[in-house]
Amino acid sequence: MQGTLEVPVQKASWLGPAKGRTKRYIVYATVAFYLFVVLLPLYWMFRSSIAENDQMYGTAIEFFPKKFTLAQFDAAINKWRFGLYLSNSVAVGLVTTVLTTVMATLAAYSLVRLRFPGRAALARSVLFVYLVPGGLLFIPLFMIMQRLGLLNSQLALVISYQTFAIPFCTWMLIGYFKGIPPEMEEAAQIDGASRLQSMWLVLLPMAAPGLVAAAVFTFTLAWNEFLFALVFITSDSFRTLPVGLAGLIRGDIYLWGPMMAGSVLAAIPVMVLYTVANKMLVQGLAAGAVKG
Amino acid sequence: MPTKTMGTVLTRRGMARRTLLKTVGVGLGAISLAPVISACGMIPGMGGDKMTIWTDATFAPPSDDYQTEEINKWAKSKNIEVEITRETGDNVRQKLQAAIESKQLPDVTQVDDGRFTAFYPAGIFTDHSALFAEFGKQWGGWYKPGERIVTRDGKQWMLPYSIDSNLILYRKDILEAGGVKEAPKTWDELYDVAKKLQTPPNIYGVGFQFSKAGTDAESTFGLMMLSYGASIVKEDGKLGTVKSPEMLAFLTRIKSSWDMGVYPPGVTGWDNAANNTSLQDEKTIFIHNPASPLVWFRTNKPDMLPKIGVSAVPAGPKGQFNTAYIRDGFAILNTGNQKRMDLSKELMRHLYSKDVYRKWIELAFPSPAVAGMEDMEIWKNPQRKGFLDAAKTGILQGHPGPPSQAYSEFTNRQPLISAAARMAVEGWTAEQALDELAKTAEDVFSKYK
Amino acid sequence: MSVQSAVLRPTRYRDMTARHKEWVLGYAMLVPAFTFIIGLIAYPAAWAMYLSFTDKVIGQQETFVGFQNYVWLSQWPNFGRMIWNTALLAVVGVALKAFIGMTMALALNEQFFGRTVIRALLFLPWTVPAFVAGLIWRWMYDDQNGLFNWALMGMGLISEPVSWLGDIRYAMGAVMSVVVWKGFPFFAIAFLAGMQGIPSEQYEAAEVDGASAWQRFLYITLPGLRHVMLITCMLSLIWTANTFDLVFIMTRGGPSNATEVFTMLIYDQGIRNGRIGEASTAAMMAMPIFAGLIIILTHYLQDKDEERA
Repeated sequence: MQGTLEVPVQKASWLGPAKGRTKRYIVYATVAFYLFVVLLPLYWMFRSSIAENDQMYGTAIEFFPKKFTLAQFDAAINKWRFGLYLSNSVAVGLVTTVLTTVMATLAAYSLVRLRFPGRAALARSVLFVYLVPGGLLFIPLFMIMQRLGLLNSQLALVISYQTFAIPFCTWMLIGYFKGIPPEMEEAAQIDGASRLQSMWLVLLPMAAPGLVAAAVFTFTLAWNEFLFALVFITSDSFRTLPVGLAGLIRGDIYLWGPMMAGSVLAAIPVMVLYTVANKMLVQGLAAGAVKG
Repeated sequence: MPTKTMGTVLTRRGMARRTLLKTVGVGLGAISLAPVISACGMIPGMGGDKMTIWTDATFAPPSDDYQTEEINKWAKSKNIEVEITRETGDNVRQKLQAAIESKQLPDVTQVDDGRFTAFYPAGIFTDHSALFAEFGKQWGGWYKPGERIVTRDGKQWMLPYSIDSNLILYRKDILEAGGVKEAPKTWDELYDVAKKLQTPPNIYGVGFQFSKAGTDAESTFGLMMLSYGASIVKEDGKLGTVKSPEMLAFLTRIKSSWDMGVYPPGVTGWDNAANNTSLQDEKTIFIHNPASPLVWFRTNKPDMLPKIGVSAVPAGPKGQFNTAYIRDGFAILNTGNQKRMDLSKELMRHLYSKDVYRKWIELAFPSPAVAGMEDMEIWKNPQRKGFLDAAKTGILQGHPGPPSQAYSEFTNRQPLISAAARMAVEGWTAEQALDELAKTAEDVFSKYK
Repeated sequence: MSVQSAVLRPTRYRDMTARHKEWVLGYAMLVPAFTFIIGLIAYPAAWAMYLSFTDKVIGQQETFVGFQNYVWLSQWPNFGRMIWNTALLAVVGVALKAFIGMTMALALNEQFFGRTVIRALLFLPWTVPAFVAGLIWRWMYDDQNGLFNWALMGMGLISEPVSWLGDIRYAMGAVMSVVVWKGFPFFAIAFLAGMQGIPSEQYEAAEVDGASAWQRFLYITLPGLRHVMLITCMLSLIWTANTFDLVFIMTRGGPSNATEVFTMLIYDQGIRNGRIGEASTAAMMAMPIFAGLIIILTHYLQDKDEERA
């Protein structure tokens, strides 16, 4: 048997034993290159968030600024209330993710493991939600929220985010569930487990990496959503980060400093989330090694 | 083959992890549910005595802050609750769309002339004639452009607050160093001076956007068009003869200016902030813009401020035109709640009161909509005076006809910028550009018979 | 049991056949998700469909105009160009994202120092709101102050600043680069998670059999990721074709239609002008294409599934 729960071992992979030097270099080179491309704009964002105002514009821009300041963060949090927007975004994101993941898990399980008439058509119809673009959707959704008396509340966002989150999450999970052979669950069922029990005790643990990935993605989608957050929320106290950031564009003047600071603040929670989730991915790796 | 032992092992392991995940999930859920629950508890209805006020985020944040402060002060003195939302104009427009369709209007909203023209047919504006007359008397009259925009069928449907204009902002110091004493008075002069004094690739002469992202230039080219005696509409606002020799002359002027090489090559990708940046970074001599760079200089590069000149838009062979548009305006909307509508009138009185209005104008940049402030110190500054003068004499969108939805939609398509870009980027001739322009006009106006 | 069910009509759950119980369970598990979907989408979708046949403008009463909008839209100048731009962005964009995502996932699947941190870092582009990413890249591509021009000129590779976003040859490439930058982490993480499900014994066995790294990738990794790949590509195609924020912030469709995609049309008509009748028509015209895409891809998925069973 491979692997234990305590230490995640290096699984064999397509690349083969990690001892080969050229292979090592390929891996390192690839990672380094992509790291550079990915991080360049983000470095700029970070650097601008701690630089003085005169570093934002003009020809005197330094790649590595000599002076640092926390003034931008100070402005973002105190003047522009980004601390508040951050907590709003977190609240909306978390609740959306939990709600979506639960519903999507149930739906995906049903569409993958169970057989019933119309299964294929129902699976497809989940995706048809994407045929209506957000730019059109927001008006009728606004009217629905109004009728439910939910305007200007975070609940309106959580509910309306289901429109793009459920199809996405469901299909991601369908993909992961399909990739797991059903033999394990069938064995558990032979042992006396019900369908739901076999899902809970067998499938979900094995699909944990997929679940975590889907949940993290869903959170990110909710985190970055702009249009509904703009239209459904009117009070500043419920405003979310993307709308708050957009508010720093004032006509043809961009307040770069606070905007970059705000963007850095916006990136932190997701980073944290991803790091935490990554641990679960690794654990999934170890448990997944317990097979066959 | 899976064995019973395997199943048990898996189950136990799986359970350990599931428990962990479950607790984490419940914990997170509880933490996040708390704010949501309290948020639900705080769901404000649009009923009751809470007033909702939608305002614009302008390029002079101090004036915005002052306005918010004053509204809050007023609300406190009246012992009522207000909810002020401040967004950029485009976002307010989008929210208004949803609000109109669902009949859930705010009590007061800021309106510029674009929004007014677009939403007037929806019937959301109330009759402001009484307030208009009252303030007019209080301040010694309104400037004509503001009055013309808001008057329909002899009544006024919103209140103008500030009138803005796009003027030529230029590097006075470069002109003086080059021996040019006064700002160019005609387009030809402007281009000649630009060509003479520019030092590419460091400093280019003219920074007009040739990209749809730069809506400023649509107004620039529009004024140029009128100054050449060409127009899209007739005086009654109906589609006129687009394919005229004047229009061709105007398009040819744009093409020839491009061939002169006075524009930085990047103008084909500039947005509305890019021409500001070009002046702010000392990369161009002439731009056409509202006062935002002046505000920027004041905050970021005060020593450059005296070097910036403000002049009226140059004249063409057939005339000279400035724009004047309502940048800030207020409208009490048709919410049906008489009590709040009356309160809104009180709020207007507060905002138009002597001290509040004057202070706001000082902090903002455009011209007031009323005539009674010409004695203020700030107009001694030639930069600000330029905007005051333009406000009095500017033309409205849709000239020579009245502002109309058709013209508004036409302008939204950026037809003049498109024509300029075709000639610059794709090398079209002026005739080809003219054909497309005429077709676009036909296309839009045919919908508004 | 089956004889019994053939004779009687079971009404109680526990009297149902196993097959029927499965049906009930299957439908029941779909109820939560579908309640939301139908509740939230059915009305707007029907509304949009209805509107496409009217001349509705915000705040005004609409009148029925039949297919007038459709005719008008298909005669829209640059209609073909817009379709081409959208298709190009979607197809090439997704292909690049998938390729880069795959190479990333493969590299990240290996154990090396700092892997956890790097994985988190590489996820970042997806976490930045689209318009912030657009703004930063726009600044980097700027012809006056942009980082790229500054660096290229500093290194002596070019003598004059290049207008990346203003030059008709480069604009689409520039926009696509940002679309890919922003989107590839999604593929990378999805593939990475999928790779965890591939049993390592398969790799070991293949190695023992003498398969090369490339062969192992082709015959083990790819098939193992088959479903995940298909689904992420399909989702991404839909999303990329619907890109709006990035294009809007960077070029707004310019220079001169070089990057005009169909979401611009919906925005210009619907949001800027309030003519949601025409905006709905644009969305309606795109629907068959997306629906077709969905049907084809899901059909492909189902087929494979039946094979396995």
